[in-house]
Amino acid sequence: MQALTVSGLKKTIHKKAILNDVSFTIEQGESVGLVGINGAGKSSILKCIAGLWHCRGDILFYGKPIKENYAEFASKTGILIEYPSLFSGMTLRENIQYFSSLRGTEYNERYEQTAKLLNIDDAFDKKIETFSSGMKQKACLLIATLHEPSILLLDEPTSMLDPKSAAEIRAFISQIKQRNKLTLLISSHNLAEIENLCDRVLILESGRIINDYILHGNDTKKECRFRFATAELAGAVFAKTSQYFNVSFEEDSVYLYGDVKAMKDFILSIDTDFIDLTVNGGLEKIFMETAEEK
Amino acid sequence: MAKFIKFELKRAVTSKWFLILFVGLAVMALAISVYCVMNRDDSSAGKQVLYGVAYYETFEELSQQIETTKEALKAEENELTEGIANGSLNDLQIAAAERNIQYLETNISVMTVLSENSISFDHATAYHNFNVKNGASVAITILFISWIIVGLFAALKISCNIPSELKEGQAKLSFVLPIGKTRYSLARYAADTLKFILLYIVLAIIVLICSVIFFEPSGYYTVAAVGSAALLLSPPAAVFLSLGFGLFYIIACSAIGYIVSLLIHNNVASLLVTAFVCLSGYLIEAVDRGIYGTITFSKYLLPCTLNIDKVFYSAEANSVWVAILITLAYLIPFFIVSLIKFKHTDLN
Repeated sequence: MQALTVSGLKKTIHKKAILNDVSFTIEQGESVGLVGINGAGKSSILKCIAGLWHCRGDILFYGKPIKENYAEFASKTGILIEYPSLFSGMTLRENIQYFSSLRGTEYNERYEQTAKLLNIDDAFDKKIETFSSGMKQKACLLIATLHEPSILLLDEPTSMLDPKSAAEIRAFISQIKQRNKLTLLISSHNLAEIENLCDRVLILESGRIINDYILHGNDTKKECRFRFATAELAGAVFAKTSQYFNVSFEEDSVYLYGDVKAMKDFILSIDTDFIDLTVNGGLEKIFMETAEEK
Repeated sequence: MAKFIKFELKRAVTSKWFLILFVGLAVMALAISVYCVMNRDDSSAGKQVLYGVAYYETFEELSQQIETTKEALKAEENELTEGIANGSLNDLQIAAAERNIQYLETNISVMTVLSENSISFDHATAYHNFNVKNGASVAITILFISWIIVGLFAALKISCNIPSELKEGQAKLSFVLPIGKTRYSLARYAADTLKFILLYIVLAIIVLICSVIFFEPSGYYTVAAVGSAALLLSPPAAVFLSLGFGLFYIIACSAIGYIVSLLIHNNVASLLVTAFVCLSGYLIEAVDRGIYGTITFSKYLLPCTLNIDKVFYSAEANSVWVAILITLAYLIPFFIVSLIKFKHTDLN
């Protein structure tokens, strides 16, 4: 089932075409990455889908136009666009209560469990103004996912963050993606991040999709490096995966030559998470080749 | 939306700035009351003004004054009728005569109400004349200052809501909620307006309590007069009437702040425009008076219609209902237009 259908999306600002006839579909549970240089139209697509920008074209959510069904769309979608912010004079708990009350829901203990996943559970009663950039971004992600969305729209969620916070955010997205069978549309300049999180990538240039590429398919046989928090964890994963996959183990990493998606799913199925995934000759190569072809 | 408003009201009680404002106004109410109590025996503390009614010791003197004024009114009316009929009066003279007739009518209505209720001259004060001995007059003064402050605070706070969210980035989370950005902005506006309304109501109750504790709760009145009608206001009645006028001012100022915030997405500009609209009434009236010698066009402008109690102390002011209608005639179309514009604005 198609979770999101975008067709003929056009946006013009001051007579300049920002989006030029953008069309794509995302299946339920699919993770799609938007990549492209600055000004390619990544954020614009997300802003149009989120309803922050008015645009021409059709955007359907499970077959229904978002414009006419915005309340239903927003109640099932988590949206984090560019650099959002919470109310700095309020504590994280108050911010959660603020947004929950607007969604018509009561404060829930589950929120604290979710905060634990993001490692900000001890900051519930601290004011946002005392938070670091990483904590602020995590708090925004927490607010955007409080209602257990089935679709997640993320615009550069880890840009300008320290590596630890970025890794924690990626781990969180992976976990809720797995747990809730989330449909994900994410834009990022970090190609490794897109490779880690996405099944498919849309490469954009000047407001057009110039390549729609399936990552980690059975046909993509490349050497991949799964990096883990500790060497022990990497060793444990190696022990469990070596009977099913063609893998090797070195320090904190497990190297795979084979089906990346199957390996990723297997690692997540044994309740383990990796810090990052690097595909040799992967997305970066594809991106550069696509750009050169154009 | 109800849950959000409830949450915001709860949060207001613990908000530092909201508490500072409330405590500041409550202390002001208490300080003015105490000042009045300490100066009530000082004969120079306040000159008794009562719509031109001359001092009377007995009610016979007052009845005589009524008769004299009625005769003066009749003479003035006859003079005006004759003057118009034979064309001996120019437009300025006609206008002056009409103003004089209105003034005399107000005089008579005030004297009649004082006579009917057997109120001595010392126990009555004209509306908006600060008399330290009169609890009703003190209550009106305190509440007038309070509603200007609360209304301005409400307007300025609301005028910054949307621009601040857009600048700081909260809008990227709050504008994508299921209620939509328009209803969200309305919810914030309603919650903030309600906060300031409740603050003003609590303050009015404190003022009423002060007037009961510090002043004689009965026997002293304020007279609010317009044209041929005069109202006798006891301290509770004065507080009740000021509550109504104050609520209108606060609601109207909040609406101005909200409209401006939807149209101007810059904190400082939104703040300045709102402050100008809410406070420029007196300036516009002064300019109008400077040009024409009286209030002409200004009474039809939004900044000048916000204080609807003006009808009790300005002979040229519009009646309360006309002022309310003019205010609504400005605010409703602007409200609708700003909502439509906001709905169709892209968020960057």
